[in-house]
Amino acid sequence: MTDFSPAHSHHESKPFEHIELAMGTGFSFRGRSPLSDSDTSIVLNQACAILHEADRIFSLYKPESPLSRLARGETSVAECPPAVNEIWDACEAWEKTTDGWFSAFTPEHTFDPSGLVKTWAANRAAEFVLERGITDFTLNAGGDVMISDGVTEAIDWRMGISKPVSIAAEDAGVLTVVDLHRTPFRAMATSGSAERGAHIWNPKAGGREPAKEFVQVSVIARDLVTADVWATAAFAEGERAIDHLNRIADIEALFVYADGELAATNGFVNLFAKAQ
Amino acid sequence: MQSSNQPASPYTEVTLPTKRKWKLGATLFSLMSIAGGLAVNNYLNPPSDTVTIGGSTASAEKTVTSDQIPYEFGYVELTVTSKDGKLSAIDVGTSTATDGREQAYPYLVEYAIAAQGTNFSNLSGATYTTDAFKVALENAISKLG
Repeated sequence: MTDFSPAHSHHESKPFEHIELAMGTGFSFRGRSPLSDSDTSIVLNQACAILHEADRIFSLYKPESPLSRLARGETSVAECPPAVNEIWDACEAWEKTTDGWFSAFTPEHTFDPSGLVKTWAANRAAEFVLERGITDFTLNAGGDVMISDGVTEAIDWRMGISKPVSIAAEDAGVLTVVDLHRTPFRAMATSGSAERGAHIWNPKAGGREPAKEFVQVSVIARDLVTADVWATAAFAEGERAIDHLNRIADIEALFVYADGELAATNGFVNLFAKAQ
Repeated sequence: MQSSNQPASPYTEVTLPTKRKWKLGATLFSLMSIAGGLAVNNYLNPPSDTVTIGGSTASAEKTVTSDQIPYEFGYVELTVTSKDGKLSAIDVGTSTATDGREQAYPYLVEYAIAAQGTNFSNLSGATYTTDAFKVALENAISKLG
């Protein structure tokens, strides 16, 4: 309480919120910063520059991006920025880890790492913010959410899960809430067909056969990229993903079927938020 | 207004699990009902301070329109009215969206007015529309001064 050592004599933390549109979605940093308003703003803008830089490199919507040029065979991985090689290796590793259910290699044999790039970049941006001394915040990367170790508000440990309908649907809203306080988990990612249609294909089927069994999968993990990759993989794998994820350490998941029925991994029940 | 063939409102009535995969059973459902109720309440009434716009001098009614904020499915443009320093109306008449996504806006508007601000909880899921809405709302509020 009365510790006047320099390490603890920080200024009063001020709440902040920063929303950035990047990579075709919204990124929202919210928390409390010990820095001055202007320093906080500088740190967040620099963190968001990481997101825009990733978009510049990896966007397949931009014809002149290194990745678009790679897809057209105009350049090689070696000639691309180092991040491309890093992502390529990460995608190969995740494909092995998920038994092939996460794949960045399309049925047309081109490289489409967009399933990984958003949370990879978000994670880098969050690490940058942490390194600059802001340790009490959450980051919502277009619906994939991470919590920093140092959050001080109880509400920040609780995350809602959307119903598996478009947020624009008449019955849109919150399906349930989880509370990650006093757990090893710091991230949740949700994959589904509600907002973008069937955008995840089954990498083990010929051609682009969309995975149909679930309408939504939410995965809770220690970090954002792990949650994101497994959410994508489980959505593609379908019903067998329940047993599959039960065999993976430090992963919990909630599955929603098209008829509204739910399923979950064995430990998920412990994560539901409880009445105060 | 859903385009899929799922039931219109799978969560308004409790369907008891029948298949084997539903291992967690009724415990899960009752926990979820409790948690879900809290969640919806939190979502509709987030713990936020009242946003006061324009300070004590804003006794007159003032209406401004935000920029067009693009998002995945179109753009959002909000017309915001403030009266006596508080938001009194938000009109989203000119926003665009595909596949009946327009349906969300009236709900978002109610949420926004109920909360008098943009303090939504972190929500995992597809959040494109919400983010565009929030950005447009903040843009309009900044124009109110």
